Amino acid sequence: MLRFPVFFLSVLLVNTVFAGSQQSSYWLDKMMKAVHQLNYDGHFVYLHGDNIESLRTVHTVIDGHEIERLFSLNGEAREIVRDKDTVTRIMPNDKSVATTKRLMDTEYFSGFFVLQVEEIEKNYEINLSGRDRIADRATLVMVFKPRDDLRYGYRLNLDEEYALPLQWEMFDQQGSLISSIMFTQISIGDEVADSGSLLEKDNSPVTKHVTKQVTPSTQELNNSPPKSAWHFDNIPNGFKLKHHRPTIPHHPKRDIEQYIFSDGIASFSVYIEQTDKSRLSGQAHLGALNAYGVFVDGHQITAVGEVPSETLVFISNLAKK
Amino acid sequence: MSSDINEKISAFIDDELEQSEFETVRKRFEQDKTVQLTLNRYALISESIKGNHCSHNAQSVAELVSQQLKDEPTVLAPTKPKTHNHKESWKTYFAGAAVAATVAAVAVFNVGSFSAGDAQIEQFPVTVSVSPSSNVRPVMLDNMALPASTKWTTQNASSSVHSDEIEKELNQFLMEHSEYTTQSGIPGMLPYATIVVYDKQK
Repeated sequence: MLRFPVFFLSVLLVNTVFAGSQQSSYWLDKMMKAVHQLNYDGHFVYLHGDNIESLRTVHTVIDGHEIERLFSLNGEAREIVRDKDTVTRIMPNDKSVATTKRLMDTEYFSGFFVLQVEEIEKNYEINLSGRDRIADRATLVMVFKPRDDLRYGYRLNLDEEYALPLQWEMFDQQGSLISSIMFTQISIGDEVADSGSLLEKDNSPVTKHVTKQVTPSTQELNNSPPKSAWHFDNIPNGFKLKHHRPTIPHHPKRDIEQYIFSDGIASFSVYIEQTDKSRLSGQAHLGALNAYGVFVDGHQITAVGEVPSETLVFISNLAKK
Repeated sequence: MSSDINEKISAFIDDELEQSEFETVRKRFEQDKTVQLTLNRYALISESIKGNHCSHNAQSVAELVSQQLKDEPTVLAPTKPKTHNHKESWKTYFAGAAVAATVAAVAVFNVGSFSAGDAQIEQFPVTVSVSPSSNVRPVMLDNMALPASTKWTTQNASSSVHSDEIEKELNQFLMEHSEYTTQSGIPGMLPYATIVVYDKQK
């Protein structure tokens, strides 16, 4: 007698979960497109630890190319500008500008961290948990609850109209808020134009103009990651090695390898360098970001990322040559 | 909009306005959409400081204030002596969000408090303690270093190289790493936000 109702309920449950998964997938896909394809100009607050910062971001798309500006609104004026080719750091008070060629091939990396719900759901329980209101706009709340202690949890408030993330919160294993970005005012749409730089606004000439061009390696341009001398066995659940670089541009004369891991949302990098000096040995923290260093057999291993320290310690000790 | 009115808005949220200032803010609030937006923004910042969230059905702070102004005609009386009654009523609308609004105001509007000639600012001192027993000292970063806005804190860590070199290296590692994380759009803004912010502890 009960077989049919149980079967019916099972089908209903599966369908409900599938529908939820479809909804999550729809919103994540829409969010990815919104972040990269829309014009928006907004003020947001950034909470990390006991600190609060106020910033403004202006994102515009011109002829299909993104330009993103990030201004600090408190403390010393600072600006980071990213376009398809370069990352520029502007410090008006120091009268300096530093331009670095972007490290990645745009086309290749545009799909580098595609948010795939099926993959993410292996490591996070995703729920659409109602509606809220951020920056005077209606939002949809999406929660990513980690399935283990190797990663943090997230709560997103997505704009109901455009799916832009208007609030992003990160929680530790105990569920305590450790970092948050929240827009307090935002304009979205084609009427948003590139704001120009702080330098232009301040009319302050740049007396020290430092430009550093970094050319990606041939292998990177060919999209073929080089073979690595190092390997990581028993990588923590859900994390995958996404990319390996034999050298990093900021230290062209030092052979520092970079290994980038991600679980679809969270990510961290492991840097390995042959050296006779132990550099960082132990843990370091910067807001919600962690770092861990260990010296092994004449090599300095340093892991950096937005994951718990325990995860960095674990992965760093897995590195074997 | 001048910083003066911004300060008054912050004081308004903090419940620290004199009666005359209160009237000034009220008039500007009624006439100036920008003031309403600023009030909204400050209130949200205050809420975020406390970790509060807006209710889905809540009206905007500006709407609430407008309604409160309509409901409270005594505030409009210019000869009314200053009392705390009208102020107390604001508190109910901000539901505790008023706390630390001064911090929020500083966070948003203190850009002008630093001048280009300020030697301390130009030196970009950065401190990093690599081990609990190591000396913390300010250092000058070179031009290609990241803005010295970041301060790493360590715990039971040690190193055979100087702390400022470790600080610089970690910042550069962070910058390299952020190139990859920014594509996802979720935590992507975090590394750059971390880099660009000014470290008030320096």
